[in-house]
Amino acid sequence: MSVSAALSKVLAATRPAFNARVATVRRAQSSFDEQVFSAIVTELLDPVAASVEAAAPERTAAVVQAGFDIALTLAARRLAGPGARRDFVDRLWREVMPGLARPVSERPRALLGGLTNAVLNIAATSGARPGEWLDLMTNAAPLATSATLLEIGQVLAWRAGMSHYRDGALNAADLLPPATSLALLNAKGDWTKVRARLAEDRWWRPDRDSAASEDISIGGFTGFGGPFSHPPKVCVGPEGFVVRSGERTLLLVADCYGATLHPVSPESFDALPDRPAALDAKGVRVGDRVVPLTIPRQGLSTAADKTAVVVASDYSYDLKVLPWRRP
Amino acid sequence: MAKLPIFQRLSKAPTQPKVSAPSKAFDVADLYDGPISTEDARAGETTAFDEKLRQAYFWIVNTAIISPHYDVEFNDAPPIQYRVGDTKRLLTLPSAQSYSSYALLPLLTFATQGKCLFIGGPGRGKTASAILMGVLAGYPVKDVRRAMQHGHPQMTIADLLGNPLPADLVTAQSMDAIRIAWRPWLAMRVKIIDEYNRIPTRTQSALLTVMGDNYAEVLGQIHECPPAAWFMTANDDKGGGTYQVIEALRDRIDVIVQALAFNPRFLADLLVRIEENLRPEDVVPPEIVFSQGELQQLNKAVRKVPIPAEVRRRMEFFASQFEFMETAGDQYEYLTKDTVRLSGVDWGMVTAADSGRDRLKDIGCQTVNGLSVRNLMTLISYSKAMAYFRGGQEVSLEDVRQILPFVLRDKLKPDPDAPFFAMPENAAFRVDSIGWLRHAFDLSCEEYDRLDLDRDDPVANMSDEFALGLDEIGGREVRARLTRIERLIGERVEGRKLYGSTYDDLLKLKYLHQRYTNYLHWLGAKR
Repeated sequence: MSVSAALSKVLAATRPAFNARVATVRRAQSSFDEQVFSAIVTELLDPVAASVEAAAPERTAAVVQAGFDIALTLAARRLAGPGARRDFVDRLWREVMPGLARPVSERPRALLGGLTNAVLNIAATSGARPGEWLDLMTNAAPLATSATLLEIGQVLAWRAGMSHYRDGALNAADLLPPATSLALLNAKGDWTKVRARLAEDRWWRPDRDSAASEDISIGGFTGFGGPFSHPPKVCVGPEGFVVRSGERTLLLVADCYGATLHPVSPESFDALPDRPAALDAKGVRVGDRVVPLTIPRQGLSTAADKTAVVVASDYSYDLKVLPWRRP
Repeated sequence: MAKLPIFQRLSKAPTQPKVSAPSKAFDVADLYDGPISTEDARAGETTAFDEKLRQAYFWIVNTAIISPHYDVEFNDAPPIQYRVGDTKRLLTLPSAQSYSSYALLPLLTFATQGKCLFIGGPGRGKTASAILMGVLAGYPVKDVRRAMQHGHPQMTIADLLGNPLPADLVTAQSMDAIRIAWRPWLAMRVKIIDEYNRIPTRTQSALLTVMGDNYAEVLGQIHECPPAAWFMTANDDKGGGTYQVIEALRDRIDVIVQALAFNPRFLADLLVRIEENLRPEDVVPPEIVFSQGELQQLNKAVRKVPIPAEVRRRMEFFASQFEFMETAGDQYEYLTKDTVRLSGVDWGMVTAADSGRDRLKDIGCQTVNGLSVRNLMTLISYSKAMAYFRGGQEVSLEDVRQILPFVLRDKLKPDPDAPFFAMPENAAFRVDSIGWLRHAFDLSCEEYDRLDLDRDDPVANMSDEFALGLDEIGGREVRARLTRIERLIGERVEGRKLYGSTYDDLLKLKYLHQRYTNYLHWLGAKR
């Protein structure tokens, strides 16, 4: 497959150095597949090089240099290209990066490498939605500069389900122009007020008119790629909900944009008292709200904190996170 | 050509991760951490010095020096062990981060500004390791190579230190007027002497002044040198070579590290260097280079690492085993091996007269000398550096145990005629001094535990009591303390054999007795 003139020009100019880099990695890693690497260069690096050539031709060489090293790592670790377990990195480079040509041209290694790491992290986080992040990034590309792109990525990662980054993402949004922050969250009005309400209520979404928040389902059987080998049990601890499934203990962090699970030490669960939420004929009762149940009452494990109820069952590998708010 | 990434790759921080606390703090900046290096995204960040030191270590062992010998072993759980061969030697798979002494000891020398001797056969990377240390101190490779002193039989003091200016030699009216062109290496913070055992004896004496007192002297002119880390190489550690190394110079060396044999299983790593025509010292990543200010701060930070009293006591107990020699004299204070050495009397004759003690059990009988103050200071200094390197808040017993053999090698001299070495199971210790010294420390700790000194150490209690000061202490209390000391000495000497630790305890009690006696006299005169 042929590559763009922009990429072939840089490759030709620095051929001995590039060849030496490939040779070194090949020697260090016997499983290094040159065909995979070649596919990454031609299918992923080439569109980026072409877009940078169009936006800032004087920076094409720098972008290709940085991209070439990253491509080597991606190929060596099978994180992109043919044979990769997921195609999120491919999509990032093919669909998102060309729209970010100008910022990437100014800080190629930081932005190409950083955003690649970001999509890998989001894809590896149970409960997060990497596909949605890629779509949001594509839409937000016109708002980005080389100085703000990383903060934009953080805010959108939160929107794409990385709810454990809520506080950090709000701080990142503070560093952006207010109009950009509002646009990223699909909000209207005054950023200061929106920010204050977000800080006060973790279940409020500025893009939804309704006060009622949606229920969240998270989990799944490990055999199908989920995080749980056994039906989970749940307790509420000082830092949030703690979930036990077989040998694994996980912290559940949830808010209006989603829920994520993070490994913690087993003591985090063992030390907690078993305080289930109240059950009555209508369902789980929390404060003055009754959450109706659609699963059998036998073998239920429930926990509630100030803003949410989590329900687990011996008959399911999924957890239900049910936000509740006093009307 | 750009530097090959494989030679520039650093181990990802933290290199010594601690067990995470149950609490979970999420940092949105972690979103951009991952397998892809983002170099310039991290510009301006500073790394803690212990982390930087560990990154330097891992760069050296993973990239620069092929030394896959993890002989400095640490465990946080019982290690897996195998008995191998006819001699049933122990092969241990450590359960915690362990290190190669060949890369670790030079780095600790770098951090403490100590003096390290590389020993081993030719072509094992001794000089290359020393050059790396120079580069880590921020000097260009060319400068380090040019400043390296190569020992040779014709080396004069002028070759080593500098020449008087010829014009001044002719025109000067006094010695003060003769200017000296000092050698540039004297001003460097990393000093390298290659094959120091080939330097003639007279020149060695000039070197000793620079090493010991940090100044150089030529024709009465003095040149002050900055504090520096010293790296020397030799083909053996016994001081042999073209010239015998003078005793005082050998004693100035803090640690001796042996270049172990190359494992041919790692031949592929050599191939890359040959084919790419690269030398590790040419591609040291700038992230692990220490500036002059950082070096000073690193040294200061190492000194600040505390040694807990319980660890210090075990060091004291170990050190007290060796100097005592009951047959060495008549007066109590002179019952030491040093008295024998100074007298010139045959060692065998003195030890033959040593009867009554269990010479197999007494660790002190394994050596012909004791530990000097300099040895102990070095041990303290390197133990702190070991703890700092591992990211510890204080020195642990294991830090001391691992570093001790490298400090005391060639300092604590074994007595080959000692009954300990005649035992078949200890025969290997005649040649393996590192193993022997670590074993001796283990024996000392076992004895310390047997005596239950962690919980019951009256001498330590009396020392602590005295350390609180004598202000406001009345005559009655002083007399009571004197009685307690006399009673304790009585208990210690009654029907007991004398061992090194008892000898030092009795000397300490005599010291306390004397201080209280003087104070009592002073109180009496005051009235």
